[in-house]
Amino acid sequence: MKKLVYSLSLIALLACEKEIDFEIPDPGKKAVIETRLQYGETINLYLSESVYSLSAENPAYRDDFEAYLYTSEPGSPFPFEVIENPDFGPEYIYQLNHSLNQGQNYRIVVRADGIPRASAEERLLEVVEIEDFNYNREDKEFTFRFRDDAATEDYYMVTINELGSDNLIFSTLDLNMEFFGYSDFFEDGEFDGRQFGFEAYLPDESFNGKSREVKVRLEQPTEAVFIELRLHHISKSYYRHELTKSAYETSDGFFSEPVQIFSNVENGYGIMATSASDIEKVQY
Amino acid sequence: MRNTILGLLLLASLAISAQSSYTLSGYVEDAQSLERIIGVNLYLEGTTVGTTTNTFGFYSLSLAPGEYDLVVSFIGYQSIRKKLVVKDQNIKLDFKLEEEASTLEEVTVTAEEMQVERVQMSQVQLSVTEIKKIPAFLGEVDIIRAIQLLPGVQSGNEGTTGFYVRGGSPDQNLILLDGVPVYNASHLFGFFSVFNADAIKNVNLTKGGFPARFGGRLSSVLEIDMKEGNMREFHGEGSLGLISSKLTLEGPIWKDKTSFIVSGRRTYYDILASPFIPEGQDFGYYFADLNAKINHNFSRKDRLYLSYYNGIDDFSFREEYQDDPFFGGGEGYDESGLDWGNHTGALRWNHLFNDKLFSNLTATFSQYRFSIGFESYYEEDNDISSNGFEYFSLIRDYGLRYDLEYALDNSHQLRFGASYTNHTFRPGVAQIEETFDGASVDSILDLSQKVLANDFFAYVEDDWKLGERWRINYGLHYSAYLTNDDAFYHNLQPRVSARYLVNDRLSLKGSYALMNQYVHLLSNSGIGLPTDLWVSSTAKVKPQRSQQVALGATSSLWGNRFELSAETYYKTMNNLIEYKEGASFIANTDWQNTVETDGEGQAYGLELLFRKKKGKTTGWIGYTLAWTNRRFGNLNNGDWFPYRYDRRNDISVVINHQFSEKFDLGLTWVYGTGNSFTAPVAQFKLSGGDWGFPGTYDRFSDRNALRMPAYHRLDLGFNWHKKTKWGERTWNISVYNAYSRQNPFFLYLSQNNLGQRRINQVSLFPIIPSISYQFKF
Repeated sequence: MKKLVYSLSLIALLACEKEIDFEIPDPGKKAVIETRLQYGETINLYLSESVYSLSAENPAYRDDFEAYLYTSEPGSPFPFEVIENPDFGPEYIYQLNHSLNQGQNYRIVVRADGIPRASAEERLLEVVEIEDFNYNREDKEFTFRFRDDAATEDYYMVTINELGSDNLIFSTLDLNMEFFGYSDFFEDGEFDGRQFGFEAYLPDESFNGKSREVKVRLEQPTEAVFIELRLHHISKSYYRHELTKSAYETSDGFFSEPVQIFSNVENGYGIMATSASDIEKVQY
Repeated sequence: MRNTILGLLLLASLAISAQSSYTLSGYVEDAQSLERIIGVNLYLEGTTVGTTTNTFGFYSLSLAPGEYDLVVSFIGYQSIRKKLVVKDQNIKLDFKLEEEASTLEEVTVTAEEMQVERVQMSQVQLSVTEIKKIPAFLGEVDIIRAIQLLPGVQSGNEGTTGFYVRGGSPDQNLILLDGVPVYNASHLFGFFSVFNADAIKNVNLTKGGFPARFGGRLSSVLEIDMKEGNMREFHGEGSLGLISSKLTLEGPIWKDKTSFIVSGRRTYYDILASPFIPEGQDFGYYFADLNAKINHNFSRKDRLYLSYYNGIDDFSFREEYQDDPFFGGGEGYDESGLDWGNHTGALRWNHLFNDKLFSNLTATFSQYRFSIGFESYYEEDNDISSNGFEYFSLIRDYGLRYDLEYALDNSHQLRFGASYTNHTFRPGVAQIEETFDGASVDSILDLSQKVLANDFFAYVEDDWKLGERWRINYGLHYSAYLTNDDAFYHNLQPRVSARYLVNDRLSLKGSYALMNQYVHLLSNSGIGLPTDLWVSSTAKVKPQRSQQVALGATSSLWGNRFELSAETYYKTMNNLIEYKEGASFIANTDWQNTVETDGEGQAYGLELLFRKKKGKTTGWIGYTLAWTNRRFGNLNNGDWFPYRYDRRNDISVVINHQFSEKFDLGLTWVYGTGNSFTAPVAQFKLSGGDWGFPGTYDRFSDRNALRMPAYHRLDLGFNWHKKTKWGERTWNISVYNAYSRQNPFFLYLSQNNLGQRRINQVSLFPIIPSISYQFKF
């Protein structure tokens, strides 16, 4: 009997977890493109290579990619130049000083040794103007309106920045605005449903073709003299990439489906995003 | 309205009488307990004229004057043969069936209506006696686990009691306990179902070919009838198991008029564990059920049933603490808890208008509530500070339903009726309480809009015997749904099933059903966790809709001792919903903003069932070959992907052998293609990770593109019965997963000691022996 109990206990303990031989299909190394084309800004492009999930290697940024910007302008394609990143972040930056035009399509093509050619294409959107702008300095509250185009599916992002610098934390009671990066409902002492974050996203599905009012409150003190409220008209790809990336990072559902980070790169991974921004500058 | 219906039916009756037909009607009851028996077969020997008793044991037959041999039979009971002489008046005849003294002898199956003869396809009935012979998990006989062994029905993850019918999701199963919907049928995160087998009389699963009286769900209807209680004698039964015990008492309140049954079950893990929990801490989990039913027989024409169910799961953790005097010496506690449960109630009134017209009026109540919360309390020098948070979701229904059955003649059995349900949905409510320096704040925040909905349907259905060979059940189901956000949906759903009798032993069947479903279950996991939210169709979220076509053949073999049935089906589904990628049940926005609403589904397959119901050895072998896929615009790049529980091959073998009146052995073996899953195929970097540094991310395969290893398991159950002075006792020894197969529960990517990335498989249950003691008096 003792032996039986011992044997059963041993079987029970061994039954819990084991390493198994399981073949996951290998998609091979691929290029990872990461860039956001912004109206009026220099193009910064980060390029890296992916690795097989069961490989002992790690994914890495590389400085030997050939990268080109294709446009309908004469002289296209325009080559990117690679530099070492002087700041923290990816080791290398592929840069191109090129004047970007609203409403125009852009295509980026990259290739490197051992990595198949990858490309991404996106249209640079038009700036959507901020209207009826008001800043209540006492409450640090911004109120403004903008008009959505009924003919297109649009996505917006709102940020508050130190002049030409980092995003600041702000809040809103508007439940249709989504914070992907930092949004902590439960830790808010007021418990009034206010959401917090650095970037608030707003798809036009509930106000397509209408004028939309936005009310946000700055929550982070700053030493800056001037601050900016920015309304970014962003591409759907950018919205979906940021949404899924945030969901990937915050997903803790043990049994839930894993989140696939959205990519618009053909034969590769990553994102080519575009945005066009209208900016209101005020004294803090 | 009622008078109009009665008037029309009276006219129809007169028309029938003009043809010199008379009605034979009555009830069939258990001779010992006087409980009415469902599905008893009554037929005239040597003819194809016959019928079966309805849910309340009532039957009605039209007969021309003459002499007949009537046979009344039901499995497990001695058949009655009666000579009948029909002259010039209707006959009321009730039957009391005696249980068979022994079921050991091989007998020809003349009991219950043979599958070959029935028009209804895609339906399986299981008796509780049959279910109790299936090996039990941890000594707990489980109805849903038995259902999972049928072809076309798949289990979800290891050990859980969610079930998936013909590619549908768990919310597409309408589970009715005495006619009342049960929204969450799981205890202990799905490892046990809420149905206490000791309180259950009958189980009936319909997977397709839905008659018009059913509605509101796309994939299946599981009807579970509670016992009524013995009208004549006081009896009890119970069991003592490793994790729970249960006790059922039944008997007459007023002999032959009123009876009761009450049944309770509770786990005692919390009680057993309490001596081992450190001082200052309290940790516990239990689940408990209470079933109760009273029925009163006013007269042959009127009978009233009142049934009630309450089930609860409660998980709690509490820790008390005292600060060091240096830090103030205050004391306090932190407490957190998770609880969920169903309440259901039904009041049913059977009324017999005349020998042909039977009615049942049901008033129902059903509620499912899930709650998660925490509380923190601290007291120092009479200064109290506390805060608490509770998040709950709830669905509550009040309903009224009226069903009528009219035996027009032996060719037409009409059913018609209507139902109204008022739903209240509160999918996400947060309640915050805070006390500090004597000031209190108490606020309630409806994170999701409260939805009130009016759900109405009406149906008419005819079971039509068309000559010797054809039998057709056809009908229409109309439903309408109105919510407080002004969403209004309505829908006419045609249903038809047909049977062609090739010969006495072979029939061919076909069916078509259009189904509509106004409620949805939002699930992160798909495995039936209590956190899943029941939500309503709204102006933004449309009702789910399906169409199903099924074709099949049923054959009786070897002197009707065996049945073989084969069915193929094709089902399409629309307006399915699913959480957007990464969204979850606790969101700071209305749930409608967190879901994809454009889901499509398709399911098709073949089901085979080979079954033996009588003799020393009983059981079945079931095989399912199936495909089920889903598509959402924003998931998997808008491409079709296999549903989480898409399972190509599914086999179940269920065998019970009765060696003698004292000993019987049960065996089940199941095999299933591994569940589909999504795994990382590559890793890549993106800037803007933590603190602005690049982060490493996984690129996953297409959704559910990979397969886990196959699942198979053998369970054994051994029963030793003994008659005692006071009744009967049974020792049950069960072995779950007898050859300790390490079945995959989930797989994950890990890095081993050599730095290599590998796939690890986690299994849940190895071999689990258990013992229980059952008694009956």
